[in-house]
Amino acid sequence: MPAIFPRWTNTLPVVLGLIAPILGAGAIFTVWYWFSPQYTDVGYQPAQPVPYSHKLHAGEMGMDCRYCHNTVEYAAVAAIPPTQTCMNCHDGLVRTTNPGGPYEGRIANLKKSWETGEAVEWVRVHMLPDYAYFNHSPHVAAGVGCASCHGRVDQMVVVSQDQPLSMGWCLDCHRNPKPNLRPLDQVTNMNWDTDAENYDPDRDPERKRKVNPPVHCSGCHR
Amino acid sequence: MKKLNVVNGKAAPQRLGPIQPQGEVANRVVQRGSQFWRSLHGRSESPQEKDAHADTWKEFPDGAEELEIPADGVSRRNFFGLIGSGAALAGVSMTTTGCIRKPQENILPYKTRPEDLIPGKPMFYASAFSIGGSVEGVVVESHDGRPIKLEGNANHSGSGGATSLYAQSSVLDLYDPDRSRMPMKDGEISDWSAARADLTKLLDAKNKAKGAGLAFVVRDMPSPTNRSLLAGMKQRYPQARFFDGDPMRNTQSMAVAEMLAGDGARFRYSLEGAKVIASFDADFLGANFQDGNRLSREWSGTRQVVGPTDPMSRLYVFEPHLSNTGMMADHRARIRGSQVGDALIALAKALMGGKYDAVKAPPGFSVDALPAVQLDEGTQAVVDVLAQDLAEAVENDRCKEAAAAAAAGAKPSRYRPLCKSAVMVGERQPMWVHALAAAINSAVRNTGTMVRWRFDRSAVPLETLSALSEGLGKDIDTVICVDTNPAYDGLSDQGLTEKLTAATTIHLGLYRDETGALANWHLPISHFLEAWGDAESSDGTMAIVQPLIEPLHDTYSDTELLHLFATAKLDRGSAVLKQYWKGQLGPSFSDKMWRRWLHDGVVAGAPREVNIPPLANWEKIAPAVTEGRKPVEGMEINFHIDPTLADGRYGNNAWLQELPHPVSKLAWDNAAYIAPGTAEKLGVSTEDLVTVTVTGGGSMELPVFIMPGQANDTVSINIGSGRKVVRWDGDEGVVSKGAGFNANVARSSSAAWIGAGSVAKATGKYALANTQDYGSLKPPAYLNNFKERPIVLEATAEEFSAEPNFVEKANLMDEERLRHLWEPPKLTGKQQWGMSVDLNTCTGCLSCVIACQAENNIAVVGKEQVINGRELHWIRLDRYYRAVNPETRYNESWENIDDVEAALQPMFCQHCESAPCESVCPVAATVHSPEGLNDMVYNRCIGTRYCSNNCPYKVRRFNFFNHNLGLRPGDWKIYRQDDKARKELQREDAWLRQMQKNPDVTVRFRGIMEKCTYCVQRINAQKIEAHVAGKEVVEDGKILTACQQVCPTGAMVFGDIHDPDSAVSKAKRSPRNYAVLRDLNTQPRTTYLARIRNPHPTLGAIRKKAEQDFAASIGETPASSDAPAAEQTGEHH
Repeated sequence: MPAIFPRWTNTLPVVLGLIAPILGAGAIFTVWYWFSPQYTDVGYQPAQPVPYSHKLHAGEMGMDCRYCHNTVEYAAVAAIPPTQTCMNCHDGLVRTTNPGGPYEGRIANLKKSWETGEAVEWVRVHMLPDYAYFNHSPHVAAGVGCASCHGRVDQMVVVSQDQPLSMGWCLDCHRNPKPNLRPLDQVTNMNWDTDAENYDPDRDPERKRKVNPPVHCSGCHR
Repeated sequence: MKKLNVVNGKAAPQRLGPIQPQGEVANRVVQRGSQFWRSLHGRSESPQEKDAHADTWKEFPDGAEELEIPADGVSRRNFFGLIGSGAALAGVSMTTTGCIRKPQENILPYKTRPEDLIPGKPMFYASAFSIGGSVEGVVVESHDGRPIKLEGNANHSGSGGATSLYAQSSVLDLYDPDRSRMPMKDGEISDWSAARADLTKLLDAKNKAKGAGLAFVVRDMPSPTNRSLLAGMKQRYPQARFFDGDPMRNTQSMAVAEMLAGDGARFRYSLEGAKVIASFDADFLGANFQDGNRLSREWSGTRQVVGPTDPMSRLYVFEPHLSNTGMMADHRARIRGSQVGDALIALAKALMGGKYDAVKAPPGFSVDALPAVQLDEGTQAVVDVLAQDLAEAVENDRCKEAAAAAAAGAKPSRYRPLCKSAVMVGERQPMWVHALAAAINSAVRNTGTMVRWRFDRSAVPLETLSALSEGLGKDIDTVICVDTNPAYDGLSDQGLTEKLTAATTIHLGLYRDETGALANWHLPISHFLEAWGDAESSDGTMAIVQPLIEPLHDTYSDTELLHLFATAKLDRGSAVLKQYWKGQLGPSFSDKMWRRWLHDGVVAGAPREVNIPPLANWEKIAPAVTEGRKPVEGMEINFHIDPTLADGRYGNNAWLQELPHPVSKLAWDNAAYIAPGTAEKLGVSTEDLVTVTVTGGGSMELPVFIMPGQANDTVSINIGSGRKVVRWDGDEGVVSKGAGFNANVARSSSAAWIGAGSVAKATGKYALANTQDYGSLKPPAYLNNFKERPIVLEATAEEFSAEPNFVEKANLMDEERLRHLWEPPKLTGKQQWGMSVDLNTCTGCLSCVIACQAENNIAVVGKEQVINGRELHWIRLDRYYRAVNPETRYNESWENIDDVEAALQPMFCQHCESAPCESVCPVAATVHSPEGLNDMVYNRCIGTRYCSNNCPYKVRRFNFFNHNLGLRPGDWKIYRQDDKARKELQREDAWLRQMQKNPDVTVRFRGIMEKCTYCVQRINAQKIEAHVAGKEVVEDGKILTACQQVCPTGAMVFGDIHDPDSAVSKAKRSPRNYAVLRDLNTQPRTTYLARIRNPHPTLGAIRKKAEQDFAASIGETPASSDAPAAEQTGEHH
């Protein structure tokens, strides 16, 4: 009676036994690496309607973050400034309005907004899911530097996402916030070097309360 | 009978049985508590047969687990096929789109950011809401320019920081997609320029004709500006007539006031410091009573009891139909609507018959001239003790003491002396009943204190709709309806629909309603959150109404249009308003003052004349009584303004339609409420269709709902249902469609509220959605051998003083036996949140349910889903009944459960420290926060519903569908259809609807469990504020949950239970404090304060004796504290 299965099938279990773990491991790695916010989100750098350079404004000119994002200390969102804020300087600024000049047209959309009242449609870079209720103000009050989450924005010509902003990443800091804390007057300082300064928030007399971030669900989800 | 403590034929060891209530009082409290039942389906049967009625206990309704899509008939199998392929597709899209970023989001900043506006932070503006003659100052929460929630304005006397349910739900009307969006001529879409041209032509012609043939139908207008415009209209059209198109207007009490004190006289009630309150068909704790919100607050001030010695008011209610007020009554006489006046005559006779010296009848008024009345024995007994109580209140020592103490400079105590009384009459009662009450109030010296009089100088006299109906046949040819709906409100004998169709009709309204649909011109007006205005309360408090948002649609405000009628000029509402106030104040008006008014929400600094009218004409009362008194023989048909839909103006408000009736708990429909005994006699039962015919009126067909507490041989029907709203595109308003039955077609002007009639069984049944037939907290005793545990605890004032710790003594579970089945969570937070609900002051007004819905983005599910028990309200206001007569409690005949007393208990997530829901969640989607909150994590929930199953309080709600898409599953089909224009419109509607959503709370999707979070968004907001300010803890009183903030009686207190000085800790230290189902050791954070009833000692003693006699007659011996009487007392419930 001929064998139902040819002889070579005897090797199948061995081959499968060898390949399956590799495939399995590959699948796990695929999801673990390519599906993670570290891979999908970090580096997101959408084109903006106005070629605004943080490198120029925050870096070279040394403007404080809060000149534009002035609600960051009071509100959940560090608001994108109204056109008015831009126009405080740019209204009548020759370099960016001069016809035929090297920067002509750069602020065309800004001017259009100023004239028509229509909003400049900025593209959001740092996006959290809608069920996560992040609030900037307690983070600023606790002395978490802007750069801790947003990276060296002062070196970015076009802003991109620097950190994964995933829940695990949030919790890493919420469970051990100390390494990311700095003196309350250094929050917007882009050059602050945590490692070099050896800062201990527990000994800072400026701090009125010990930082005690929530790690329970309703701290952020509600 | 002695089988409950018997296990396997042997007597159970004592340890397994429950411990006994200690003492006679505690025993009575437990017995009483176990005698409460919630639904006629779940009513306790006779003790002998109890175990045989297994299905009296329903945790979930029938069909709760079934998926029904009736519209296209998808079967369960098809459905699984669909979701299977859906999952496969999702898998495919995962692999193809998994590496692609989420969709791009844009941020649109302002060109110039308005001053003080911080994006993402709500702003609060003061305004005012009015309905009928009630005005409530409100503070409107606006997120990025969208008003989303109304709170009470503590500065305003009509609000006191709380609001009625109508004010809460009014914000939904603003964003209602079915609202009218453009002028319409004869049913065709038109525009304002055509409308104005037509109007100008018409009004100019009427101006030349001196207004002959012109009629205005207006609402009760509390707005001084609008009233001045009405006066302007009277000048411009001298012969024009003005009609009252507002069923909520207090026409009867106004008529009495004018009879006794002259034109423009008005009175209002006050309950501050009341010791005795008598309500004659006056549901003053409901939202339909004028100033119900203020009266609830004042009433609660007389019911706040901490210790047994604290004084407490006594509430007598005489009514045919159980109301909020009736549920809170200490004595409730269940009498026919036509007999309420008779009870008042009997009271007048008892009081002023010479028995009480202190009571002085007003001059010219004599009780001898009143007709003789015959009351049933029980009612007469209540009237007698009421007369005694009222007479005692006239000469109350406490008042004298307090006056002496105040004169000596003593500070008023927390419990202001309770020494006064008030006799109140509801608007349903005819004018002579109000007149009699005025005489009684005068006799017991309430005039000026509990009944306050004033002249309303700007009042505009209005004629009735019957007069309009007469005039329409003769001299009236043009009718302008200003925010009124006479085609719906008109009664059967008025025939307004036909007559208005024949006349030239111009309709101004939020909706294209019944009148709008037949009008020659329908002109949309702005919602009060879009318009400038003002409002004067009954006590003279003025408030400015300021808009929160530009009109969403192409609308003008009523003020602007009235100004157009009065002056032929169209001006901006703000200008008209300011002009009026400038005219009133003259040179003392300043912009600074104006801004102050807008900021505070209350007008201050406007000169006010003292104008208290002298009362006279008392001799007119007796003839009015003789003339007006019309006894009703046979079946009596009562009509009531709907406690959730008002007169019908909220017919298209989905929150209010789905809100269960405060007593019957019917959602989405009205019904013919009939007492159990009467129903048995008529041979009808709940959901049977009947034809109700009013003698001299029309008839209507509607389903029966059997309602204990209803007077015998009466039917009560709510008006306000059966509305029809037609959108500009011809579709019917999606909410009001098919909801309820229009009762106005049966009413006649002679029997508008109370009249004779008949009820006949019709063929067929009609499904009703009732929310009390399932979700019982009370498992039947056969499930375990425990004594049935009382869910609501209450005692009488006498019992409370005899045994202040009755709650603790009534405990049925040995503390030693309480064990944790799992390790309880570690509560390490600095603050521990908890709540206390005072059942003594919770009136069941339902404002909290709507406030919670508005704050927490709770979806409306539609009638079909309510029937399946899938409503999403986080707060369920449980209403329990208990038969008054003990003999009838176990009686099989329904006739004997007619007379009930009711108990109320708001039930929502109890935030158990040892929560049963948490231990069964397979994905840890419900977990404990270190501050004691039972967190619900929507983004983790996979919808197993184990938690809901395991929740002993039945407070978890599951989103069976994506209810945010549409009201009914059938509506979703429209979404899927290919008609592009239709789809676009649907999207626009969805945008409108989503503008109301609170951005601080997740909008839940299908398949998600949800429940009360203690308004965690509000807790977090205050915590963040405190932390940013460098504080460790949030100050007590900073966090107000939505339900607490809206509660007019202050029954709910929230705060930190670890802080011994917090309001909630103080409340929980009361001896009345108890936890529901504490024997389960869930350790709930929400606890209740047991209710104290305050019956008159004479009647209380009679009742107590009857209870004891009955207990003895069925062989139930009251247990005493030391007797190990487990076997005797363990079996009765």
